[in-house]
Amino acid sequence: MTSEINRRAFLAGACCLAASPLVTPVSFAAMPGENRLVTIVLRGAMDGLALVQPYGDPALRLLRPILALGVDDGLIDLDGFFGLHPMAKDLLPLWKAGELGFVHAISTPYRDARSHFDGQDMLESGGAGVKAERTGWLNRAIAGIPRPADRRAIDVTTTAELILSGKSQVDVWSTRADLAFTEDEQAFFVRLYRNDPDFAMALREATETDMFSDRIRAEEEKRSAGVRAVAELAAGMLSADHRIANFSINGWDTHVNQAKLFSKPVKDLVTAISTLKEKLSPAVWRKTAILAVTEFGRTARENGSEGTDHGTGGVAILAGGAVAGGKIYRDWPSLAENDLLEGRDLRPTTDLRQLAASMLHQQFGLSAHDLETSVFPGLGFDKRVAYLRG
Amino acid sequence: MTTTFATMASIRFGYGRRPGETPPENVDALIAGVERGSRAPCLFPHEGIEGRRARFPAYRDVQRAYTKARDSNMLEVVGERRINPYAITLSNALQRDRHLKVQQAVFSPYGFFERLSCFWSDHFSVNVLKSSAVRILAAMHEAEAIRPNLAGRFADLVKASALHPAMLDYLDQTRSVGPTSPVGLKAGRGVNENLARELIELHTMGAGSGYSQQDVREAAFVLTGLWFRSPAFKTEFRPKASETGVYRVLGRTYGGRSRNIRQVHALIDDLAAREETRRHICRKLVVHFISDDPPQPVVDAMVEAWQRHDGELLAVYRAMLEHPRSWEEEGRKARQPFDFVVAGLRALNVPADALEPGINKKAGWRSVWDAAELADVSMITSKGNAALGANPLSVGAITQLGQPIWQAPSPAGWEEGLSTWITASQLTERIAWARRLVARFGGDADPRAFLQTAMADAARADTIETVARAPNRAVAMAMVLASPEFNRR
Repeated sequence: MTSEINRRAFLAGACCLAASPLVTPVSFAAMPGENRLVTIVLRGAMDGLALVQPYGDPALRLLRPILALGVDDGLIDLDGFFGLHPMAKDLLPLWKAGELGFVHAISTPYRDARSHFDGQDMLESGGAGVKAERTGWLNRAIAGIPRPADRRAIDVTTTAELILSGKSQVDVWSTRADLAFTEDEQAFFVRLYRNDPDFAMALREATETDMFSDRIRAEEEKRSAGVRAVAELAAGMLSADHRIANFSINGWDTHVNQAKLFSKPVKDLVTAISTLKEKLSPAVWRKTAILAVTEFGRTARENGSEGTDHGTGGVAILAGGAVAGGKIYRDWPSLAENDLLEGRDLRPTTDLRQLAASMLHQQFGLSAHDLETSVFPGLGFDKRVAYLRG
Repeated sequence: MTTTFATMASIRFGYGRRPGETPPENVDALIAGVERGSRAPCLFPHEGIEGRRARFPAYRDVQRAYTKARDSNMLEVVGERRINPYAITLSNALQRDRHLKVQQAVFSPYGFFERLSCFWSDHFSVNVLKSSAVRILAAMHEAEAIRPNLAGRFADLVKASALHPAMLDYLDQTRSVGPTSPVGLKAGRGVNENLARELIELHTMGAGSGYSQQDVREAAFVLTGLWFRSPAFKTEFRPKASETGVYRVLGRTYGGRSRNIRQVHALIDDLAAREETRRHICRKLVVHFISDDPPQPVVDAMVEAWQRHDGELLAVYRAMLEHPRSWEEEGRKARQPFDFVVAGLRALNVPADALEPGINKKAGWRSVWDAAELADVSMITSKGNAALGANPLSVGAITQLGQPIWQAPSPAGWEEGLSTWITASQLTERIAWARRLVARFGGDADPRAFLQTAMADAARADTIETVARAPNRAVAMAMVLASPEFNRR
């Protein structure tokens, strides 16, 4: 792969990206070898119990009388106990081919406070506590890998997302993210202005006169195109010199009307994974692992506004030709009242850092020592747990 | 006052908080900042005041070269367009001045002084769309007429600002000549009342405060003779364009058989000393700084101080700052777009190099004019446009938000009311800008800490809670800048 091809791949991706609003910057790292890793950060706390529903757990229907789905409602049975959300049905072929898997009841070590920022900080920094690490675990992971020297900053004005930020130089691309509101974000602006009549009225007027909503609707139409463009860009870069790509999908903070709000980011996630599969050659796809993670899960119980609140345990998604899929990795803690964490959340039984460490170990050969000391300080890495085809 | 003095001083009487800057702790500190500010150098015009004066002849040469080329049909054509090198040069110069005006407000430690500079620049509004002269003089008007005088006597501020070449051009005084003066007879021209009217109606007494059309008319005759020459751009009195005679304005007489600028100054001194003027200006200051519905006791205290100190503006500002009612009812005013954008840039500590004019690198640019002396303002793109563009984070945002710098829609300046500035379209644009700004400069800041930095104890409990719960950092950071309290003052 020459850098000229790399440049063309980048520009081909970048031009379609420039035309579409994008949720977050995309960052890349080039490395030797053929194995690839794509991380997708699902910001806003993705409800794992909605994406991969434990419909075989009798407590689910009691906790979520409105939100829980049955096979009759379109839930797609995966293994007789778990079912996949209907909006993700386009991923079913991957599941059947063993190229899609899930890790359930997973979480970072973040507990009790349930702040999105702190949760995302821990997810991306890989620390054992809030602010324990200042750089991203992916960046520390590539620190020890010899890489081409002439790294070229693609977009010097944008910083990489935390997960890939640190001493090691990486490439970043972002478009001017304009008013690409996700619905959960828009709801927060309504809330921000709720006690200020002048502002509340201005926002309402903007929404009603379509000044605002026209922009948002236009953004929404472009949104799936935007996610697709991001994935295409990533596929182009991964086909050339780059081996690591990271981007985010927002919109998961479904406090109200979850049945409606949840389907949009799910669709984005499906688009991202499907596009990567479509745009990567079969040979590259076989070497690719995709890991989609979120800062924490959501409450086991639905709340009073047909949504869910910030919780703890959730789901991580694995996809790609390199993963050992077709299964749900879990040590199921049960949703029975007594088994819930603090009586409200799915109790985490897997440390998300363990999953990430295992993927770095298998995909890039990071040693247990590096994983336990510099990448995820304090982690007791268990080599035996593998999520990739060995 | 529920908010601390320092916080309120920085928000109500400044451009908000900036990391590393100590907000004023008391009235003396605010007043000292005004005195220091009026002596401190100013970033605009971009060549400096003396530098701009030294380059006026160079600008004039471009204009002449353009006129000559136009008249002999020798203008360069790019695509369909005939290139006007003078317009390109002035456009670039204005961009530089405007970007530095934003930087001045962002980086100056004298927030109250900078806000006053904007207040007076708005009070004595000029509009760069008026003419090429105003484009090159607007920054000079604020830098050399307003800023050095806003801590002095009001009458001197009026003389410097209302008689500055920028104002003479903007309000057509250069076209006003005595009808029976040698110049008037020769040209067949007469009096233009524009400046005389605004001098009384806007700059001093205020509309409907008891003067008559006859007073305006007579004042216009007193003002005949004021003019300036290019490229000196210095106000002079030209007796042969002035109308001789005695004119009666509000019961006092001015002029005589021989005319001079002292007669103009006497008119201004008398207008500045009037009760109507004191009331008008003090009320306007209170409306601008404190509330659209100004508390009368504050106005009264200022009027009294004005009288006692013979129009010394520092005493007037002090009377406002020392009045307890000036420290009540936070957040009644909307931050106008300039104020809002500057406050956002300060809160995020955006560096100066990010606030430069945009230059279209992709399209490529060259010099439209071969005078090396103007190389920094003569750049043109391959498509024939001025190469310097508005930076979307600073000047571009302010323009987009409807308050282009030195371009108020009328001599009365910008609207003050909250309902003008907090509207559906304003909010949409403010949120969009906030998102762009934090995407670039938010870094890995914790939004909760950023809210503290930006608002300190002025942050409201419901905003703190909403920001803390936002679904991601980017939207939370944007919400700080879009919050009601950040958009109010």
